Amino acid sequence: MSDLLGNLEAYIRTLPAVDVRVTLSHSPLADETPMRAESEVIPGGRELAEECGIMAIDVGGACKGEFCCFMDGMQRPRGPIYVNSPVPILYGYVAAAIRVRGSDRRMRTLPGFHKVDESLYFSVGMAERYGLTISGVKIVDTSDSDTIEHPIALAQVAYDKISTIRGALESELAAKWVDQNKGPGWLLVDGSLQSDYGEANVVGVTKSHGTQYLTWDEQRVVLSMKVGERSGAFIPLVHGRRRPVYSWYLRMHPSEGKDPYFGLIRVEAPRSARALAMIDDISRWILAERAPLSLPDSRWDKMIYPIRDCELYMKSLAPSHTSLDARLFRLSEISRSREG
Amino acid sequence: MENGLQQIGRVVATEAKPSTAYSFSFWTADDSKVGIGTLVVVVTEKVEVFGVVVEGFGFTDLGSPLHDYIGAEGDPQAEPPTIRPEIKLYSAAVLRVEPEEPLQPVPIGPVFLADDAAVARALRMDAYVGRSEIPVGLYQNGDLLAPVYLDSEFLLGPEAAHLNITGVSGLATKTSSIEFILQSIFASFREDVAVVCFNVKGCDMLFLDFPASAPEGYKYEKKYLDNNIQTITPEDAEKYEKLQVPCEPFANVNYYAPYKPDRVNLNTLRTHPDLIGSVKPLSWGLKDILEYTEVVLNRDDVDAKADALIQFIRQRVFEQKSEANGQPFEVKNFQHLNQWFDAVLREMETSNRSEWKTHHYATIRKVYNRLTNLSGRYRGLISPDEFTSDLPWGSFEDRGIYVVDVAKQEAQAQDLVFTRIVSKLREHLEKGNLGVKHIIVVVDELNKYAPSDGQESYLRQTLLDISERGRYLGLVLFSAQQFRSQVHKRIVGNSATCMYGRMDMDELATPGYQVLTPATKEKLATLSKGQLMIRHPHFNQPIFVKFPRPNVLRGPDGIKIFPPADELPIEEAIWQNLSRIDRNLSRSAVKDLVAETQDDEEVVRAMNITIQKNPDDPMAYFRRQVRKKANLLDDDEPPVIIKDVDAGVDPFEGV
Repeated sequence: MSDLLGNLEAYIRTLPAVDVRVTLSHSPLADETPMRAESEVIPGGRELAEECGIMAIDVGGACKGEFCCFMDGMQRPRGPIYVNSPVPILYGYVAAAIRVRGSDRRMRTLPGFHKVDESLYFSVGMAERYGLTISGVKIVDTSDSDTIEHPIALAQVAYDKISTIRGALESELAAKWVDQNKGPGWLLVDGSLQSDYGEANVVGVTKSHGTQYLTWDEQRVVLSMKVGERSGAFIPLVHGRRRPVYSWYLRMHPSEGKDPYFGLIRVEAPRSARALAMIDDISRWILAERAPLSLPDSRWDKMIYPIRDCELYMKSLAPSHTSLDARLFRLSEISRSREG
Repeated sequence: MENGLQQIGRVVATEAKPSTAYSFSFWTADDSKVGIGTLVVVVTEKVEVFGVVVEGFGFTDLGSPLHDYIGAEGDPQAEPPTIRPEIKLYSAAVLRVEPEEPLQPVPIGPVFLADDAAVARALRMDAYVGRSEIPVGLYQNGDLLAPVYLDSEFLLGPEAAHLNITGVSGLATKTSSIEFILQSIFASFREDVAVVCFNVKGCDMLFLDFPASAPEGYKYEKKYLDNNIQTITPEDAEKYEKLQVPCEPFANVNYYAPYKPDRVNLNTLRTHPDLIGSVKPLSWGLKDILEYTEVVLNRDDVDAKADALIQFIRQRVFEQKSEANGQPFEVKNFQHLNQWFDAVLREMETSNRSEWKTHHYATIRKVYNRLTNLSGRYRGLISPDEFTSDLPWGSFEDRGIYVVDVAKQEAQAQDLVFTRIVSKLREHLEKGNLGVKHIIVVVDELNKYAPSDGQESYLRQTLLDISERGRYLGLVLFSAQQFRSQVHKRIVGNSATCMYGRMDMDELATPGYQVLTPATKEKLATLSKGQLMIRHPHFNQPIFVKFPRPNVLRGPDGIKIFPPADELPIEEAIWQNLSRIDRNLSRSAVKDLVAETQDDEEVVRAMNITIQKNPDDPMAYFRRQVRKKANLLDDDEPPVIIKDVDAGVDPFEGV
């Protein structure tokens, strides 16, 4: 981990006149600030992949599967920081890791499959308009001609960019894994599959259901699925484009008396005939991953344990909330000390 | 690693459980050889911290047992595809920090297993090894066996002294640990030292001169084999080698036991014909008792008036020419004292006076009654005549062990034996004429002899006295008991070195053990034989060690090989006792003389006098003594030549 905020502080101290304002997190333990994609329902579409359509199908119970590797990513944004300008600067720590499950059923990090990135996210062009040219730190330029020049909108763009960088790290690792692993083992990815993996042994599991792929009637079928049942497979459409995956819903835990989305996940597999033929098998493999439970994580109904393990691993190596907040607090004190 | 140590963990500190200057936590790999009592070292660029593991925790990320149950669908045999990571987290107490100043919380850093050198530094043994070390056992961690030493200056004085060991009976290794540490002291202590062991129960200390296992060609090898006696194992032998203590029984052991009431059979379990010759009688006369009357007389009896009369007898009557009722007296023994009292009382009755030399008739009658009863009450220990047989005051030998078997004595007799012997030891050490500079007194069952509650006794006072002032004199107490909590606090508190064998959980629940962590208590409750926890002034924390089985025949094994002999008839016992000084003594001659005399008291007296005088012709002397008293002496009987008994010749020596 670099001393990015330390370097930023060093840079700020070189400025002749300083006005630093920092927004410290109100909930210091929160990593994920809700992104637009997660807080808003996005309309999507679907193309049926199985003749049966969207109906509940009993996959036949859990079965020990071929999942041997698991991938997750994390992001830890902080800020915004304002330095002599109303341009929000976000600190972003992102990471992705693939952990392998050994024959002893214990999880270990696959050597070379833990990537991290620590950068400042802001619109460089706008900052320069205010005479702010930050040097000596890694910067991700979030300039976007469509963005309204408003601090809140600019901050949202920066947040989105952090997610994008995290996704890119995950894609990079997944591609590397696919490239290096031609054996029978499968990689289970937390979230959607970002690329076309062809015939590769990769599966994505999505816990959020913010994109509406199915019709209202089909959704009713999915939401009333019993534990161990899956929906018929479909090809998701986003902005009218077919994504290179087959997808289906799977009920992991009984939802009777609970939220209809309780225990409901959406699975994605590469759009290949082989994967289509394996949908029930893959579903059974995922059902087998219900134990051990991911409790005490609040998303335990949808999160399988190895993904929680990946998350814990990455968080254990990430800069702590306390240290980040302390760094940001030091920044906020610079202008006050100058005044003093 | 550069330092040659094996890294086994990393220090962790959280806000909820921070490191302090005296404790820290660390986690280890699953297969690390760390357990309760393991010595570890934290090494950073600035500081080295030595610690001992005092608590261990293992946990996973499981929030509630219910979560595991639900995840397994209630099926205990279900095997989830992934195993939760399990951490082994240990708490360690700081033993030493280098440099010592400034004393700061233990830093985050790598944790290493201590090796031989690190063990020595952790326990601060580098300060005294090579000068005053006494091996006490081996610190073991996996294959590592590192010697642990006590500092003799803190074990045998003068800086501190005394050793106390506690633990349940049978499994706590109390006796064997004391035996081993005595072997170790004999092998390592650089000054002269002797040991007085009070054998207070059974036969624990009665075979210290026999090996635990018979060497090839040993006289009793077959007996050892026939009785399936456990041998010293190669592991034990390795431990002896590591500690550089010779694996041998004690070479110079002297046994003492009072007689039974018949005053001819010794009151001990070491009465096997092969061994009885090595047991010397412990028998005291009036002179020996007069100074300790407060011990043997009931406290209520010895009021100021009685005490004044006893003082008068000590100063004006005993071994002095005195007169009562017109008769001359020179009181030398209990028989004489009886006669003297009779005369005094008769004089008062004749003259119709209620006082004699300011002493009231009732007081004289009471003291007469109590004193003259002593030789009856403690028959076997207190001799009615002048015969005495005692420890070799003034000629204690370096590395000698003097076992006083009082196991079969009643409590008050034990009190008398303890008190008198310890007082004599102190007296001689003060004068510097005991024969050795240091004496170790070994007492078991301390909760019986020095209880924390109950009536004050002379014995408890004596033990307190040793523990509080003994170290200045070289008088050291090695004590043992089952329940430390029931022993007088000042006695255990003055023991600089404390050892703990397997403990009872009830005992561990008492306030004295609050400083120990639950894990340490659990370990104490499950210690196996040969394992001890030790506290010593140089060790900041208790340390667990293993020690080898002492190469001494255990009491129960000794009894199997050398079963005690039946009580002998008087004539047989007299012949056996006289045989100590003359191996060729005719059994029939002794028998005939005893039968002819028909006065058992007299023949016993004659026997004792004969043994004490150790004449050239014991049979002739014995006959003369018997006949003299029984008026059977012929005028033409040849004179008996007496050896010079003051020349330091012990009549029992070499028997």
